[in-house]
Amino acid sequence: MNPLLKLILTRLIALVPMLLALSMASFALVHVIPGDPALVMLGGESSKEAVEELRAQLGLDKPLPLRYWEWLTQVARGDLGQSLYNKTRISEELLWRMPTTLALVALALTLSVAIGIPAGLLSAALRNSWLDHAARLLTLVSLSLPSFWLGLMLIILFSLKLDLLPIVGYQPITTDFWGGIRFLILPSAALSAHLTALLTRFTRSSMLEVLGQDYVRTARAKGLRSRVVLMRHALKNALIPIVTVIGIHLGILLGGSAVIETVFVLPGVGQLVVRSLYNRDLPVIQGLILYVAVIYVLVNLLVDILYTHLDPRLRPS
Amino acid sequence: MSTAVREASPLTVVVTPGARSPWVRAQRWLRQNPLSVAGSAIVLLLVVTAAAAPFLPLENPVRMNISKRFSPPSATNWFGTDHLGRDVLSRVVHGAGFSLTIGALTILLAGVPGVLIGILGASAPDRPAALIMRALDVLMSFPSLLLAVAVAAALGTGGRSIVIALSVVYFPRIARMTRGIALSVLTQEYVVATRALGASGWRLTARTVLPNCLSVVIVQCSLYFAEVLLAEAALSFLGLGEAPPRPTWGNMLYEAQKNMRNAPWIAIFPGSAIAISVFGLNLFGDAVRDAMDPRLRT
Repeated sequence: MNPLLKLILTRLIALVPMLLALSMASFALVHVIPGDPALVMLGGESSKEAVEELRAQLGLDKPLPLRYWEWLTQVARGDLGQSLYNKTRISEELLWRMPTTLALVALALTLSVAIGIPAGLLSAALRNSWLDHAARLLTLVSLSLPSFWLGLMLIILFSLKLDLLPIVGYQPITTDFWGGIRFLILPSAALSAHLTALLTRFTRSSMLEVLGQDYVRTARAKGLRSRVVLMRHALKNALIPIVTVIGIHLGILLGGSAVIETVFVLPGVGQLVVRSLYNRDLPVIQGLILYVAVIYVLVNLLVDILYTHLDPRLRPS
Repeated sequence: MSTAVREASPLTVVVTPGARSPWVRAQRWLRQNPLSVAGSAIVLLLVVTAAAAPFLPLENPVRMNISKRFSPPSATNWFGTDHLGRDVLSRVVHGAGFSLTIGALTILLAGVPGVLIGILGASAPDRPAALIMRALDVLMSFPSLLLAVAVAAALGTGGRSIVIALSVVYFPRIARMTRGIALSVLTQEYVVATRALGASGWRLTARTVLPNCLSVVIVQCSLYFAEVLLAEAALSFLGLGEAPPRPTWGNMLYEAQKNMRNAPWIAIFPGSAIAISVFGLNLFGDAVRDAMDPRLRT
């Protein structure tokens, strides 16, 4: 068998217990919430019988392992159940909210890569120059700003003072691409600040490490121009670990999107998480937390495989 | 026997420049690390402000004065007043204590089990150690902020649930970091020497590995402290934190959001306080880490 295929297969098999553990964790998370969802839904003044009836209807009277099993088999069929709050199918709501969050995260990721990697490259190539110092200071500042506050400040500056961009609101990019992007510029800028800083930092240190390698010295010694050495010999190798860093820190974007979507009133998945928490909408929280975690795990599996593919030293022989 | 062990194990991995008087060493350190000095100054200022808040000549942070609401920054109210006419400067200063307390409690509550599990993960036999690390992986597969939001919501609003939620998020991270450090300590020659001298597994772990990890772990925890401050602000901003009127930086921003159009200063000052504190902690943590272990330099 092709060794790469074999690697992918073994990783996929190892994924099964991981996914099971994830489902148990998200189930447990929601079921430690004190308070009776039936009571919350009906309000304080409802009769005891009505609460009992709803509990039975929701299946809350069944034993915990049975409830977990029923939920798991349902989820495995791609059905996350029904919202307690407005009775919508969670999978359907997820489907129409997903494009907004994906667009936000994708734009933020693009910004981070487009700014972070060149900045880190320059910082390493011009080590200890004023540019390097400035980049490092800016990185540190950027890591110190709360992203939601940065969002608020961007709104004050660009929407309220300069009147350049819309304050809040959204237009799906599926209907009007450029119109939708206008609404996403500030949110994705705020969301990307941390990842950009981390990528700058990591690219810099990764480049510095590669620049100290023998093959870079050899390339320089044989008289190649420094730009060629930098771009073709050093950057290409320095970028390999950066793929992993992006995968690991994708969680920053996924988690951060909840807060950013709240600040900018974007109708994404994160906003749904926050709204469901206020409404104690247990099935939604349970489904969404699992959903996001599964995406995160799958992306990292993909990154791992890509990484092995990019770095010949790690390829199974 | 025991003295031999002690001699065989240098107790810290800190590179101390020469054996001079502490004063000379401190001076040299200050000269060589201006950034860490700036960072420590910020952190010190923060702690002093938080502790001195009740004794400073400031307005009562919760007293409302509707006639003065939304006054912009002026000579009487340096940071202006909020939607209830409360002095923003006073609220920012009084909020410092809450943020620091939450941060410290979280690091303690996440750090102690985190370090113990991390050490265990490094020195336990392969199979149990792998099992522990896999369990931590599961917890770390949830995006940190989402996990914190879910746990905090499960426990109800307030400082206590924020501390627990953030501990759940950070203890696997601290455990994994500690394990990494412990594994590198385990390859050191003095560990081999201690083992050769016949130290038992427990003794080796408790007397040699743990103390040698701690200095690096503590510095890394100052960086986690900075992250916790940011996460705490985000949770409070979502309305999961301490309920008003008690001022915290996060809930001030939560309230400020509604009046941003006509009173941006209500949002600007508490956010700046968070940013400056986190900046100070990052500066301090980075500089000390670089000074201690050049290999970890970023």
